[in-house]
Amino acid sequence: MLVVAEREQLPVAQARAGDTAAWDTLFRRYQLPLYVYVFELVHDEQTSLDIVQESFINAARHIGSLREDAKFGGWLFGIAHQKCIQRWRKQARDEALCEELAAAPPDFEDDPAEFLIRAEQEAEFMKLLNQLPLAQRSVLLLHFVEEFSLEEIAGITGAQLGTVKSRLHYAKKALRNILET
Amino acid sequence: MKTPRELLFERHRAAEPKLDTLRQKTVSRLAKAPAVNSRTRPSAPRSSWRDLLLSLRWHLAGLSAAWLVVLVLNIDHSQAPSSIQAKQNIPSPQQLLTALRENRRQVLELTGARVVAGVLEARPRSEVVATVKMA
Repeated sequence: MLVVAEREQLPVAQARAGDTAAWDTLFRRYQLPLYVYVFELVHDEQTSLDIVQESFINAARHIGSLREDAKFGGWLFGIAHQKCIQRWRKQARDEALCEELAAAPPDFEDDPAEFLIRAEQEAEFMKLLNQLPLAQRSVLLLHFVEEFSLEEIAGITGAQLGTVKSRLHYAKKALRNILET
Repeated sequence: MKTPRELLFERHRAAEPKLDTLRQKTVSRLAKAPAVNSRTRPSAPRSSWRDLLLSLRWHLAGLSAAWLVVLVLNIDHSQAPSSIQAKQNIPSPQQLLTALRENRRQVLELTGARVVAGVLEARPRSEVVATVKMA
């Protein structure tokens, strides 16, 4: 599987040493993917910008806790994910539906490029994406935006690997239905 | 045809200027933090000691007071018995004289000498020995 974050030579060690230019490079690399991920979960521009900034600040503050430099991307998304969860808890959203779906057996094809969206399907794709339960949407976005592996997504979201597989399976199945029509 | 990634990124390209501004702000904050630290570094140990002492001032005051109380009590206890004992241990001249008389009487009894009731006379030691021998 293609893992974007691990292919690149990112200046994580330099950032760890306090090099602000290295931090600039890292933030530049992740600012848009992180924003896309957060925005598609919270659906509010200002909140998304706040979460991205808080994630950057937290990353700079707690870089010492990152064990493997190659996993910087997943670690940064994990910070942003936790920030989103805090917002969700405040809003007290009901995710019972997603938990029910997670119990079903997975039938998963692990290829992020399997979906090709035609111009006339874009609006419908986005509409369906936004209708997905939060947990499924989160897994699907991590899969699409940064092409994280299932293990990485499990690490970012704090869910079991089987649960991640299941959520991704049902989210993809729902998308496939609209793309095949 | 687009991949979901391309579609999502395209939809949010408009946010990039804001993200650039946000990134620059964050990086400048990070750049300022070490500068402030390096400026304050020379006086840091002194100020940290001062801060530590200031934060512990009530604890230190309490501990000092406790030690003072312990010290005062210790001095009182050590002085009182020794002075009392000293006073008690010094016999009065009367007691001393009585004890001497009694002691002499016992010695004379043991040696079989005649006890002369009366005043204990102070005599030279040679005479005392002679008296005992004659008796």
